[in-house]
Amino acid sequence: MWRYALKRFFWFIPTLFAVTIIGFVLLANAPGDPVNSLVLSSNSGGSMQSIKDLEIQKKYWSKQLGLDLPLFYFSVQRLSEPDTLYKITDEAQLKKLKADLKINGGFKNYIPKITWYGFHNQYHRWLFGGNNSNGIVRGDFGMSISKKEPVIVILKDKLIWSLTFSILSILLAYVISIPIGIRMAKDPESRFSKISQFVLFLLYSMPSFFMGVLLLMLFANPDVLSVFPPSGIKPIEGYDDQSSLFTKICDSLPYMILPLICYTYASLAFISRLTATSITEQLGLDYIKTAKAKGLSEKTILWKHALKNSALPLITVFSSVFPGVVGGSVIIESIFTIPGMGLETVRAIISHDYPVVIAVITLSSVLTIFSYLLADILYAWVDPRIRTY
Amino acid sequence: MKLKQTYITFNDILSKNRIMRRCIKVFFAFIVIAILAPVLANDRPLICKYKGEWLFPVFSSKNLIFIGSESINYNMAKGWKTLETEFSFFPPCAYSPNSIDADNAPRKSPFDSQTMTLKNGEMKALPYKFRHWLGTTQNGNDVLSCLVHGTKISLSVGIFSMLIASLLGIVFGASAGYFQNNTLKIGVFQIIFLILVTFFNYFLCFIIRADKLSEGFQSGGIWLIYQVMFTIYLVIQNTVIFLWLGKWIDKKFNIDHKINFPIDTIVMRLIEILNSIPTLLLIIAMSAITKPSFSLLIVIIGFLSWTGIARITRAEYMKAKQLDYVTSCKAIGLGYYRIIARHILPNVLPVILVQVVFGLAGAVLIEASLSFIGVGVPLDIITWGSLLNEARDHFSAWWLVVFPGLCVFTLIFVYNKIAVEISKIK
Repeated sequence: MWRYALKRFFWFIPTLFAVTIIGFVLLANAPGDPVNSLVLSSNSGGSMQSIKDLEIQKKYWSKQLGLDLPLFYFSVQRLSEPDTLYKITDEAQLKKLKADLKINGGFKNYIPKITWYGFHNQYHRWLFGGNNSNGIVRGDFGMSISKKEPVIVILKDKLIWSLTFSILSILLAYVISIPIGIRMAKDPESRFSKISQFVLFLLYSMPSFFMGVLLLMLFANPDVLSVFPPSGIKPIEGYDDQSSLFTKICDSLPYMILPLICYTYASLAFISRLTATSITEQLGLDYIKTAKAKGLSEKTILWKHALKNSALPLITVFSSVFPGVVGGSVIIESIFTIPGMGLETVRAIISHDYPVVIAVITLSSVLTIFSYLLADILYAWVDPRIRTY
Repeated sequence: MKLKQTYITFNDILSKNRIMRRCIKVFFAFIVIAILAPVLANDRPLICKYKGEWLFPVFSSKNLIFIGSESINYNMAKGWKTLETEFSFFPPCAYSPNSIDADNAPRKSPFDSQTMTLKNGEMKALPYKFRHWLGTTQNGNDVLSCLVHGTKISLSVGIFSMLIASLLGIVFGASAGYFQNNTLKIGVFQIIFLILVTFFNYFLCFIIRADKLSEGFQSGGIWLIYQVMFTIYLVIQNTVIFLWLGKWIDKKFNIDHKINFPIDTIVMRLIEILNSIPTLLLIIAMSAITKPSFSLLIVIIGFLSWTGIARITRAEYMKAKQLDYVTSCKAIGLGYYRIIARHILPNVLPVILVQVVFGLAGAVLIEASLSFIGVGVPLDIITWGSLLNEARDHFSAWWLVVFPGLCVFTLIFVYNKIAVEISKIK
């Protein structure tokens, strides 16, 4: 079992690398010059400074941020360009230089050249740390541009809320839809299964933002029904300092109900349908007949024997529901103003805070990969035959 | 012996299923609305007679015409309604999505009394032909008109992105499923040339054509799609030339040694990587880097959502490979391209179609969600999602929630239902 888990983990390492490369490419292409914004903000209160001073400061900051390093382990360039072009950090200057080189390049413009830079580069620094950076493997995603705080500090609380919601909603979806699925499998022609199938399909086609706004309009609207608070996640005045965890949860509960409905309803149809089909498949098999012949009650057969054997597809669903929940959190969190990663992403996009955006993307991709890994290992745990692969 | 037709045609699907027929009808209704949008909702009249001259303002591309001594500006939004024409016939919804009716702003409900100001400054109840049947928005845009024009965007984002996705998905999935890991054998020089061409293609895309591509990403629209398509064409052309060159060298020097090309593993890895990136987040991040546009959205959704199609295609090809007709195809000596494209593809197409139609629903959902949060899409174009967004702060404006929401819901429902009904036929 452990050998299998370890093997799966090693298979996932290239995927992890690929995901970080995508994040890094996005970060490297982000518009605006982080050095400029840092220099300007540190100068905002100071006196007039000479241009030479500014140059020195810029050089200092680009060294601090590692921007004077080559971008990647190797680079593919035109033959006409020198391989130390990365040392120029000023964008306008670089553009001009490149245009000049292109004019004088002639046929050399169209011949590729590969240069190897070694491990002293921006990607390596970003990933594993280096001068002045701990690297994202140790949780250092750099500084937020707009909040002037380490990104990981900002995201830490947000991550907890987002994970709470996604895990709760997945659990809730399983708890609600497995009984429905079993009942649908028990008698596929019954009125209950027909109606629930139709309703679940309607819910499945419902966009989450429409559902969210409708729920808010109906249940958090002083004109109609004001049962739930419209936004936020805890009372405006905050929790009492002395209150226990339980009272905190009770305080937050009314705030959580509408978002949880929004997170959960879409996956209900999927899971219950899957439960129904896989249990129906199982019910035709011989061991069910044996169980019936032994005189076991229908309840035991369905809940114990059939459900256990149809657990495999249900586990697969977990790995396909999780990414949906992570992506969907952007929408639902911005409807209900839940202070999670999704809302933070929207805020960061609007204020052009790229390190935060990239951190969110990388973190949620890595989380998704780990959910795949978890599903794989659970799979092997439930069905020992898989371990032999 | 006459062979029984093994694959399902479109007519078979339609003739058996009533629900399916209805859904297809609704889908075509959406398409007709999208195509006829300028005629259905426009603030210019379809036909009008002004000072003895017949005009067809909707169909005219001119901006200014002269009748006698008077000049008529075709772009006047409200002017057409107060113009004293002898005869005028307006579209069913007499507003364009971007025309602002200040008299009925902010947010007039469909049942409110709506007014209009005449040329002499007099206030008058809005006549039925100019009525805002589904209310107005904060700025005074007509909701019905926005919905009609939004259909075009929702449909085209789904359809074009799925065209890209199904092309990629079928090519990758079919080659992974048919060849798997041990069938595709490539000569030594072909492998060397493949590695070379990968570098060369990278050089081509990101260095030589970088300026053109970034220009395309900045301007968006047809230009972006043209640049992307042209780059893809160049990449494919290079790859084919290099592979052919490698094959030629292999033949010339009589190198018989062949290496396994594990295409199945490569494709499955790629799928795993793409699946683990949340699409919505990636689009949001991309939009922060480039100027948001719908063509960019189409390209990104297309390049991210082929994985589902590829998985299904791969599974179907793996199944089909075992069947007798493929064996007999091989026995006759048909080439793999012919077997993959001409013999297996028609048989597995309905199954792939299910995934494509589900993908359509997903693409529509992504577009609407992005418009809803107002990130990653151009903000000056009003779509279904952005109408819903306006209702977020004003829950009393129920018409801004219900109508656009129902539109998105109906389109997604129709797509999902069609997909489910196709998957039932086997």
